[in-house]
Amino acid sequence: MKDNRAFKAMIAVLLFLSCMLLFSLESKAQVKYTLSGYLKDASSGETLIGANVFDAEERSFGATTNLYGFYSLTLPEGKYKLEFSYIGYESVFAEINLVEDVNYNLEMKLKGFSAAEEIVVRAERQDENVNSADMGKVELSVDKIKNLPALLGEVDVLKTIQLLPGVMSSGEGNSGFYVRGGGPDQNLILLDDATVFNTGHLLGFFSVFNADAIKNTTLIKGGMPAQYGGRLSSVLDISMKDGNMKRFQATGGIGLLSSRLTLEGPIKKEVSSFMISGRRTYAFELAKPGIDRTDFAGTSYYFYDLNAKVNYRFSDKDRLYLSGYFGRDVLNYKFNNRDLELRMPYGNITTTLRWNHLFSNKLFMNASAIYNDYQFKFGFGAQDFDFTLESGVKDANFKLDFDYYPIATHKIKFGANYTYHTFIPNAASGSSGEVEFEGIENRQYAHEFAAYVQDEIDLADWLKVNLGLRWSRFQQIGPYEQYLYDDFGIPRDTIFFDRGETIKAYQGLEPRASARVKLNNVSSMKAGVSWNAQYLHLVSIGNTSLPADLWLPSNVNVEPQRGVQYSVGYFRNFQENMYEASIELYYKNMKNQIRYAQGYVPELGVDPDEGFIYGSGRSFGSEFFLRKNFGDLNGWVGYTISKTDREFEDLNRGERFPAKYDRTHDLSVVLSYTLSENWTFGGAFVFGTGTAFTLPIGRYLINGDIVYEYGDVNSYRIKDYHRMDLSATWKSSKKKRWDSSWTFSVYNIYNRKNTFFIFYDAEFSIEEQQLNTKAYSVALFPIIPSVTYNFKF
Amino acid sequence: MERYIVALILCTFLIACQDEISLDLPIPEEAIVVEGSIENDSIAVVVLTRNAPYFSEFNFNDLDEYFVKDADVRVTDGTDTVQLSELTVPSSAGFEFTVYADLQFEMIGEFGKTYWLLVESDGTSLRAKTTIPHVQSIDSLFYRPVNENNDTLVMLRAQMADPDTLGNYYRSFTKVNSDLFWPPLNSIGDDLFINGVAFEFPIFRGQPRSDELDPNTYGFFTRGDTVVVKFCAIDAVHYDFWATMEQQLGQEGSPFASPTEILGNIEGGLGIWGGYGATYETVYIEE
Repeated sequence: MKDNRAFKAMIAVLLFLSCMLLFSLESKAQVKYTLSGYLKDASSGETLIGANVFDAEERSFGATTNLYGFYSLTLPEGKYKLEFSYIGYESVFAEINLVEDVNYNLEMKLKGFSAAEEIVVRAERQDENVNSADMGKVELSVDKIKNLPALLGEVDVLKTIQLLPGVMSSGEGNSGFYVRGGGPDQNLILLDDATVFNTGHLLGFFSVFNADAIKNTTLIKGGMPAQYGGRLSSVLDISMKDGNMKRFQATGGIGLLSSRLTLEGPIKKEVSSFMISGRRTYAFELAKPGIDRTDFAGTSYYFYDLNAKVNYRFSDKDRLYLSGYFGRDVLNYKFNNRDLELRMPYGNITTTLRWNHLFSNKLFMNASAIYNDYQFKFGFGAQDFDFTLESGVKDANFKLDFDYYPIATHKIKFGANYTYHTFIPNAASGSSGEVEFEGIENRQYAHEFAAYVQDEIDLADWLKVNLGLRWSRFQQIGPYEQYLYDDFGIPRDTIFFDRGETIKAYQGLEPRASARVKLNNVSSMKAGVSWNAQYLHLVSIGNTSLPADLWLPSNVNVEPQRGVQYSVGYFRNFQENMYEASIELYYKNMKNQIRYAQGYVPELGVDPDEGFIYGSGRSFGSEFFLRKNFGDLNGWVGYTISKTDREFEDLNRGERFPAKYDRTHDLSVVLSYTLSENWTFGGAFVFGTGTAFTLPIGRYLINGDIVYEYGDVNSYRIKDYHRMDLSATWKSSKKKRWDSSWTFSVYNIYNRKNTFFIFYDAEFSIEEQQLNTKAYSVALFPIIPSVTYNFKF
Repeated sequence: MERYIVALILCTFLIACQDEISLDLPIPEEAIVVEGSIENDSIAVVVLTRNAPYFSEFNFNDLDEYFVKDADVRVTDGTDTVQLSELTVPSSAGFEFTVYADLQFEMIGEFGKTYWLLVESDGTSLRAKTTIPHVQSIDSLFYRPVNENNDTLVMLRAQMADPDTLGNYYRSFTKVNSDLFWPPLNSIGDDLFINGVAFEFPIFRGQPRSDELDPNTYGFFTRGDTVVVKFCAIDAVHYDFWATMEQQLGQEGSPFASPTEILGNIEGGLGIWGGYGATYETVYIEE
């Protein structure tokens, strides 16, 4: 009820402020001109995302480049001294005499080595921490994370994100992540605007994002702007490199697990460029000759990724991008003695076509057509029996996004989005000899619509607000066969829906707001609130995220997830932005959470919906963050204290229980030290409260077998997790055509045996005339050294 | 199947390390565990035991406390009620079992009937309901070599036609020569996937779970064996019990498994009171 009142109040405030905005735009009838353009990297021509243009003297106004490197500032006629800045690049100062509209494109140069801004997580404008109205937003520049230690030398943006406060790893060595107590399905993960439904290779130990192909990564963990939607917890927006506009370049690396090669260059200088990047594992292939001499001959495993992108600049006003990702994990397991075979191929495909168009120097448009497809297959064969299980999700998505900069104090974004979803929930088929079986395939289809508008307004020097409103609608449509089940879960009747027929529709308004109150030049307070709707659900039969987890839509049986998050924070910079610090508090409420009941046994031929139970969740906590931005030694300390629980009527006797995402204390310390032109060292230490587990507490015998009686849900904590990783990178001296480096990395340097899972063992001993019961803790990764060779020419 | 893949990958790539630990766990509520069944043309047999904290000591001398004795155990079909007699059966390991059975043969299981179990013991009342469903017999039972190079092991195959109506649940057992009937590791099946289809399926050799599992020979029979296949129809609730129990036991030790709670049908206690509509088929596997 409280949420409902707040929600209505929010809508009223938004309406009032839109009236105010119209008034303010009309009343200021002073002569104004627009300064606009693109900011790019001088050596590659790559556009710079999130670079800043601001008043160099007063710092009273400014603009930030968008995802395509475009900025626009509309100011009263006059002379301005402007600073163009981007971390790691030399700032450019320019005097602009604004007596007409000015188009000012700028190529910025990377700072030399001595500038020592080898910071891992990039601050935006150096005082952006204090100045912007954004809360819980972090940008990561991939080039800079390569100096950090990595498991088996595989640089992984998702694992670096886990080192930030409020973001937790979904398990030892796992690239999956939870944000502020939300499940893994509550993170919107975008690769060039395409949704990536499965982010992990090899059961999630490595992410699908090949660091060599990525330009920029933005994580928003709270106060999601209205341009994003469809998830409750966070947005991870990843941009692929566009490709070097100036010269041909090859980048690559050889590691213990995989090798990478990226080629990029101009197709036509300054007009068109391409980027193609591939990665493939070979660890298993090395063992293959040995395996092929055993009963398991034919068993193999590998994964690969391919990223490709081309772009073409028709003019200063139009640019076209086409990008794609293709990745697969392929496991084949054979046991020839029994004529037994398992096949498990799975992976994502994404394709994005984007058109940037400048209607005027104040109005930027991006139109996108996007296709993404996640497929999981599991096949089993034994003699003449064969069985295949298939699941996945496919989306065709059209988006229009506008950036409108009417005056320097307003930055307006608006747009619309349509997605056609196809879900394949566990389609089973099989054959035994001549006889073929088909289970319920029952694909589900849906339309999803969204429209949004948001405005970042400088109301006063000390007050900035960001207001947004998003409307979304989700429509489950036919063809669909709705099964009506009896009390025993047996489908007894069917309702047929025709193609395109609406079966169930949900919609809602999602207001978003944040405000920044500047206390003085070095500190500010911020507060934000956002309502979010999520029409997709991920259900896992296992205890952790697995590729077999099912993505399902909200439908006639399952309602959408709805959430609201309130956050407030204090932000302060020290020593001329050398250090920045923040404290953020958040409270999040989540409705319509789903999971399988505890006695659920997967059943072919039954809709997965039948096994669900429904509940709610909440999460609250404080995040502390201190970061050193410059100097030979830089890095950060992040600490989170939080609580996350869930409540399901049909679980744990209806009592609240800790979510598996609950981690009371979570600490990360990340440091990078540049010793010389050749040597850089990196280190990371993490500490987290042990994961909540459900353990058997009792036993009884059935037919001579010992079975478990479980205790309360997640009532047991495994011991606290901690680990330290170190790395050293040697880089060849610059000025050479062939640029190379060696990274030596040690994972878990003090060989901590962190519990990955616990299992029980019981045995009747006839000699001792008794039952012996034992519990074991299994640790996964001991100390693991690795070495990676990287090159660039 | 996922656990095999997981196990394979873990073994191949990772050097997992395990240590014995001690856990401080809460004590479960005391409960009586029922293992009872009634089959067509046969009598009701019930074993009553007690649950225990997982890591509590259990000595074979404590069996007296483990079995529930002096209980009042009755079975009713809604019209007639019989009281089961308590008897003590010696085991090969030297200790004694306590079993309740209808030794007077007053109530013989019939197809299509529902049976209630009523237990009173030291102020605890238990109640459960089951049915004996009609069973579709196996049409034929035959065997074939495991593979071309193996002349000692065979696999057993059965052919049957599932009835046209959904909601048939099955459980199988095998008996080799003079051994007892044992269920295979996955002993159950239903017709949600194969409704109304005539099909061929493997019959795996049953074995006690405590016997070591040899992946090279599991489920196969040896030439010269005489095999009796007990093929049963069971009701949905009865099926759920074995489905959840076999899932729980099957994923033991898997790092990714989530807990499976065993769904029993005993009001006021744990375990199962299950009816079996059974048919028996015998095959001799020629040497």
